[in-house]
Amino acid sequence: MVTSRNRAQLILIGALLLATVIFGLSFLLNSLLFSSSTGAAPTGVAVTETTDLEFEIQRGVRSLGIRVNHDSRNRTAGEVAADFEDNVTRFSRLLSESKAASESTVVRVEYENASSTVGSRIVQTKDAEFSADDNSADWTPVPASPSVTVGWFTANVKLQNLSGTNTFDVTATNASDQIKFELSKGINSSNLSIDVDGPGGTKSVKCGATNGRVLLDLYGGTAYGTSCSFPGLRTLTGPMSIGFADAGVIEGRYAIVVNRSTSQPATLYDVCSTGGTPAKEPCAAPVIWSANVSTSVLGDGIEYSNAYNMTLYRD
Amino acid sequence: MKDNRGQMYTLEGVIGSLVIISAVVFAMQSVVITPSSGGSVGAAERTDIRQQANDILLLAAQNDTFDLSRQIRYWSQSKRTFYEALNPRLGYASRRPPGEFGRLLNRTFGVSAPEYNVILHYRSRNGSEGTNSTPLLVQGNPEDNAVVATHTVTLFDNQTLTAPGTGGVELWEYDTDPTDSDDGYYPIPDAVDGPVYNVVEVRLIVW
Repeated sequence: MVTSRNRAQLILIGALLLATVIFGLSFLLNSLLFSSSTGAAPTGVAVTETTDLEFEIQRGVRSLGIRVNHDSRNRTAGEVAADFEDNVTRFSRLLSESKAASESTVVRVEYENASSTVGSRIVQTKDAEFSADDNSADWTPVPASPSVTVGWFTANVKLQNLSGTNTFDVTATNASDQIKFELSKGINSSNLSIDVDGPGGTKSVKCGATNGRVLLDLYGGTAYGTSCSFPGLRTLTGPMSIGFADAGVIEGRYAIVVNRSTSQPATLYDVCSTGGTPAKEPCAAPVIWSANVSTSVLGDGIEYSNAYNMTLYRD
Repeated sequence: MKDNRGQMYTLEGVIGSLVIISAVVFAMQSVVITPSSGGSVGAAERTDIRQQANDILLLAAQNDTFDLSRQIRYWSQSKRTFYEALNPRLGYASRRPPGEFGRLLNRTFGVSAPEYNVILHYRSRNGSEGTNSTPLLVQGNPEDNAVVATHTVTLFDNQTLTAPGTGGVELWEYDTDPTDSDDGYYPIPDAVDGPVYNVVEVRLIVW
């Protein structure tokens, strides 16, 4: 039989048991939380960081290569390669110093010229009509060939001297498609009009001039320094030819970069650097078309090396 | 005798309730004192934030219209800080930077409310003075457990500033000494010979 005195003791014992359970649960919960937050950090973050770095290295090397290629026309292929190698070494040192200062990471970027390939830059560096070197106004700067790929086409147009009545036409043709650009200037207009007729349909844009000039990227389909954009040559894939029509109505400079084949364009143009005397323009200057680059990264918990052959054009 | 029993019941009841209350208080205190208590960030949470910060930098760097390179060159000559920033010491501070970078920062950290700084670190001219820095956005002093994510951007000599009204002046043409800025002032110097201008590390610090 339970007396009143015993009931009071039961209350006390029950309270002690309940307190013990609460103590136990709180310890258990605490240890679970602590364990879950002290586990090893996932490796995903480190992988993301190396992907970031690899992305920036590739973008940096590609931009650097194009700038070295277009720096001067009077160099041999060997001189361009040596120049590129020097600049990649400087870039690598700068990158490594930057990374070492912040993360104790050593980065090394190297250019391997032996397995890189050379292309040609068909270039007119002085303001002139876009006619051929025999003064033909209708001609084909890049003839059709199954092995010639175009990766760059820029034109620096002197708007003042562009015809207000006739159009200058550029036509690019690949195995299955064609894209045509018609460049003109309206009478008393300060804009360059571009009418594009390509696989995606037709489009007309007007691009404003800076200091009387319009710098067109016909490959990418933009005018530098403006918001002007249109379908570019890049909409065509594979080997293509490029033809000019009425090249006498436009004045300016231009550059077209192609991968070099055995016969083109070396036989079509003078080599720009021949004998130290200025070659007749347009002429062909060597460029690095694809570069073999190796990267190595050594840091806290990260060690890897990578080698890849990157095409500097046609990104 | 009955009075004594009553007092005993009361005493034992009070002791029992004190024991239970003590246990509950202890349990509540234990739960609060976790690795993420007091506003600090736990290891798992830090990993998540670091991943988010890395993703923001990578997406901003790959943006077609206003990438990190354009952001770094979005410099105002008249204010001597970034265009539409608050002042040179705090950069954008609590304002939203332009473009995808600002949008991602605001969308990712603007709601969950951690604070963050974005600092640009770059090599000095010819590397003679090590690394210098310019604040792009400063919201405060980072705590000890702050998370850091970085992305490297390469600038080239023939690139131009991207802020409105800066024209076609190439980077190498600017003065980098604020006391001698006849040709305009841009704090990041030309660090090496050749087409490369400098390598800038964009450091995003979140806490």
